[in-house]
Amino acid sequence: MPALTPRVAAELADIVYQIERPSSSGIYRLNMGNYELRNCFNFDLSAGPVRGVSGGSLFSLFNKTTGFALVGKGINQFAKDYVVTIRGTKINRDWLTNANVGLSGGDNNTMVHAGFNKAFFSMKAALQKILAPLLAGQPDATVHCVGHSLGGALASLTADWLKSSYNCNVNLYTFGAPRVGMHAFAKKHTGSLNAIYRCTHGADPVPMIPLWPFVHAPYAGTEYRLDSGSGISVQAHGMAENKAPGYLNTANSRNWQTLNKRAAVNLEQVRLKYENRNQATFSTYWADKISGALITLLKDAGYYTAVMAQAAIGTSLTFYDLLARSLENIAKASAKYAEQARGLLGHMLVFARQAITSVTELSFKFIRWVFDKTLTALYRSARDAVDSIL
Amino acid sequence: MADLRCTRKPMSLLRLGLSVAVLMIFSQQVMADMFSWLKKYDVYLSPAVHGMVTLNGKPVAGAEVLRELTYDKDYIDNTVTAADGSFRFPEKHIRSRKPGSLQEMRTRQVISLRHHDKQYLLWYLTTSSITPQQAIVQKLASLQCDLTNEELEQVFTNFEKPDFPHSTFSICRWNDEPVTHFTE
Repeated sequence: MPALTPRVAAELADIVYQIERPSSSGIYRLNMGNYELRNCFNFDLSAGPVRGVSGGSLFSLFNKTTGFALVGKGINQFAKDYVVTIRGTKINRDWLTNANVGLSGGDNNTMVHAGFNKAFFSMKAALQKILAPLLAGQPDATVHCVGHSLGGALASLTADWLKSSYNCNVNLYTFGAPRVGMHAFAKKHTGSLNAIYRCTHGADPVPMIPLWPFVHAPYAGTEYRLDSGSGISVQAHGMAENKAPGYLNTANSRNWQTLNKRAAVNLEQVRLKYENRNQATFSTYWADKISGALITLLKDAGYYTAVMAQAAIGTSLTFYDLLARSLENIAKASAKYAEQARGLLGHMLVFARQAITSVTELSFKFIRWVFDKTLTALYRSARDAVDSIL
Repeated sequence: MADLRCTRKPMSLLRLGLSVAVLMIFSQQVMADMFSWLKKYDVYLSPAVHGMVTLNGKPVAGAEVLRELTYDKDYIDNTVTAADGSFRFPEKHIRSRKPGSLQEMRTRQVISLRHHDKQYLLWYLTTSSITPQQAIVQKLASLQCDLTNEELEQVFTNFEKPDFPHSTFSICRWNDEPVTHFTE
C-alpha cells in the first residue's frame, strides 16, 4: 500500500483549485502540465464538469455550480487506489474564527468542530454517491484523502467517514489545515487512519486555529514542517508555486524522509516567568508556547481534567469564560500558581502587541480581557489567510 | 467634547491635534499591517494575443473568436478574423484586492473560435501568477491554428518556475521549442 509522494500530494491539493466552474461559454479542461500525478491517477473530464461522470474514472463533484472536489482512479502502482482531493471551499469564516463555536458529533463518534462538520455534511451525499459503488467490492482498496486549508479539514472528516463506513485503507494528506477536533477526536483519528501526513509552514496561521483545546492529528505525533519560516504571515498559507513559499514548492520532494519532521509542542511542559514576558513575539512559535503554558498551569494546579471534561460536554459558559474562571480560582488558591498565571498573561499581552503589558490583578474580568486581546490578534491574521479561499 | 471650545481652550485643542498626529505617526506600522487587505493590486490576466486561423492552410475569414479571462469574475471580449485569417486581442490587466488578501486564486485564459457552428479551442491555460510570464507572452503572440489540427494538451517551459511547466489545451502549434503533447 504505497503512500503518495509529497510532490504528488501537493499537486493534488493544488489542481483542485482549477475546478471551480466552466468558462462562461461552457469550456472546461484540467491543466495537468507535467504533474507527476499523471502517472498515478486517471482524470477524464470528457463528459463535462457539471454532472458527475457515472461509470467513468474521474468524477467532478459540484455543489450547486461550484466544484469542490475531484475523485480519481489510480493507475500503475496505485492501481487499486482512489484519490479524493478537496479545495478550500467557501465556508463561513466565522465558524473558523469564532472562539465559541460549538461541537457536533463526527463519524468516529467523537465531537468535532461544528462548522467543519456542517460543511462536510453538505458534500457528503455527493461523495457517497460516487465512492460507495467503487469501494463496495474492494476491501483492499486504499483511498488517499488530500486537501489544502479548509479542504484539509474536510479531507480529515472524509477520511474518518470512509474509514468508519467502508472496509478500506485510508491515508490523509493535508497542507496548512486547521484543527478539526479536540483530544478525543485526534486520538481516534490517529489510531484509525492508516497514515496521516500533515504539512505546515512555520508562519502559516491557519494550522494554529481553532485554538486549544482543539488539537492536531496525528495526536502526539509529528507533522512535516516544510519551511523555516517564523512569525505569522498570511502569505505563508498559500498553496500555489507562485506564492512565497507556496506548499507546492516546499513539498517538491519524492520522499517524506527528506522533509523536516516536528513533534507536537503542546505536550511539553511550559512555565513562563513574568519578568521574561518581553521575549514573546507575535508568532506561531509563541502561540504554541502560550497554549503549552496554559495547559501546564491547569495541570500543575489540578484543574486540567475538570476543564477538559466541561469543554467536551459544552456548558452554558463559553470555553474562554470557563478558562478565565478557572485561572482566577487557581490564582486565589496559591501564590505560586498566581505567579505562574501572571507569567502566562504577561506573555499573552506581549504576544498580542498590547501597549501595556503589566499584570496588576488576576480577576476574572482582567483575565477574560487578556484572552480576548490574544484571540483577536491571532484570529485577525488567520482570518486574512482564510479569506483567501472564500 | 462639549468643553473643547476654541475660544476658551485653544491649547487643549492644539494638544489634542498634536497627540492625534503623534498617534497617527506611531501607529502607521500597525495600520499598514491591519489595512494591507485594502490595497489594490494589478492582476495581469492576459498578454496581447495575435493569431492566424487557417483551414487546410487557407485563411479563415469572418470567424468569431472569444477570449474569456476568469479571475474573481469573467472578463470577456470577442473579435472576428480578418481576410488573411488573423485576429488580435489587447493585453488585459485589472485592479483587484484579492492578491492582498492572499486569496488562493487562479487566472484562467480561454480562447475559442466558432466556425460553421463548430467550436475550436485555441488556448486553455490556468495559472496562479498575477504577473506576466515570458513563455505565455511568447506563445500567445503567435497562435498558428489550423482547424484540422487535433486539440492536445501541450506542455511548455515555465521560465520563472522551471519545476512547474505550463500547459495549454489547443489546436494551435508552435515551432519555437519542442513541446510535450498529451492526448486526453
